[in-house]
Amino acid sequence: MGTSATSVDAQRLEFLTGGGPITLEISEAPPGGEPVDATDAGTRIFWDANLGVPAKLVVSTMATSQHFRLFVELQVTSYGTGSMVDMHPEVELVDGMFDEDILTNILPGSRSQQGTGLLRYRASARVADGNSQTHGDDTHTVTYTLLAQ
Amino acid sequence: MVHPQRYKTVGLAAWALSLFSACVVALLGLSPSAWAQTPPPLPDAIPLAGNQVSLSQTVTVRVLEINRIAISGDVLIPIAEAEAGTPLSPVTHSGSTYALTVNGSDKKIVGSLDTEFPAGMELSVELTPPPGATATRRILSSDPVDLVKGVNLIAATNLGITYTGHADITVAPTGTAGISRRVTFTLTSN
Repeated sequence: MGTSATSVDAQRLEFLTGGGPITLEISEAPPGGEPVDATDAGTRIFWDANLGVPAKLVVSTMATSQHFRLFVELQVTSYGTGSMVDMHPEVELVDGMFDEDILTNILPGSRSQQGTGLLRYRASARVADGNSQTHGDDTHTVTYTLLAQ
Repeated sequence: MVHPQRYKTVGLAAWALSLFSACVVALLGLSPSAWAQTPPPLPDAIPLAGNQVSLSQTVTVRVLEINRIAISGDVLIPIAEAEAGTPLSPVTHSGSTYALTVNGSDKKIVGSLDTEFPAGMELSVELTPPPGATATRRILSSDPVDLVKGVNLIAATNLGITYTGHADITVAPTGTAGISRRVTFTLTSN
C-alpha cells in the first residue's frame, strides 16, 4: 500500500506502513449526543532530512466541498538517540489551507535527521453538519512535505 | 445500519393503571455503500524543486446517517377510585423523558402498543418536540401513530413524555398488578 522511497539530494520521505487510501467512517452517536469521532492510526512515515540546514515536515490538503472536519497529528515513534525534535499538536486539515508544521527543528547531522512517526487521523462531524448521504463524502488529498525550515 | 431497540411496557388496570419500563431506539436502515466512492490511486513521493520532497495520501471522511432515540425509566400510572356517582378521572404522568440524535432531515417519531388494552381502557401520549419539530397528543394503539414530525439535524436530551391513562366504569378492577403494555417509539423517515 505504501509508496516507493524518494531521494532528492539525499533527503527522503516515505510511507513505512499504510499510505494507501483511508476511509474514516462516522457511524455512531449516543442518543442526545453528537456523533463519535472516527480515527485511524495505520500510517507510518519515515523521514531523512539530509538538507544541510534545519528542516521541518509540513502538511496541507485539498478537499473540494468539505463538510466535515479532519485532523492529523504526527506521533514520533523513533529517532536518533539523544536527539530532539519539536512535535506539534493536532492540525486541522482544511481545504486550501497553507502548509502547517507538524514537525520542526529537524537538525542536520544529528540523529533526529532520521526518524519515524505515526500519522493519527481524526474525523469529526456535528449533527448540524448532516451526513454523507446528503453531502457526499469528503475526499482529501493530504500532502506531506519535508523541506528546509 | 441496525441499532438495538428498547421498549416500554405499559400496565393498565381498571382502577389502577400502570406503566412499566420502556425505551425505544429505532433507526433507519441505510446502505453506506450506496454513496461509497473509490478514491484515486496513491501517488508516489514527488521530488520538488528547492530540495523538498512530498508524499500524498487520500483520506475520505464519510458520515453515515445516524438516528438514535432512547427514553428513560419505567412508568406506573395508578388510577384511583372515583367518588360515588362520578366517572373515573384520567391520570397523567409526565416524569419520563427521551433523547434523540438525528443528523438527517425530515424524520418523525411514531408510537404504538404491542397489543391493545381491553375495551374501556386507553393510553394517550404526548412528546415534547425538539426545536423546530411539531408534536401531537395521540391515543396509542397497535397501529403506529405520528407523535412528532419535522425532526431535522438535532441532538437533544430531557425532552418530556406525558402519558395519560383512562379507564371507564365498565372496566373491572385488576388490582395493583395492573395491565401492562409495551409502548414502542420509532424514529423513522417522514
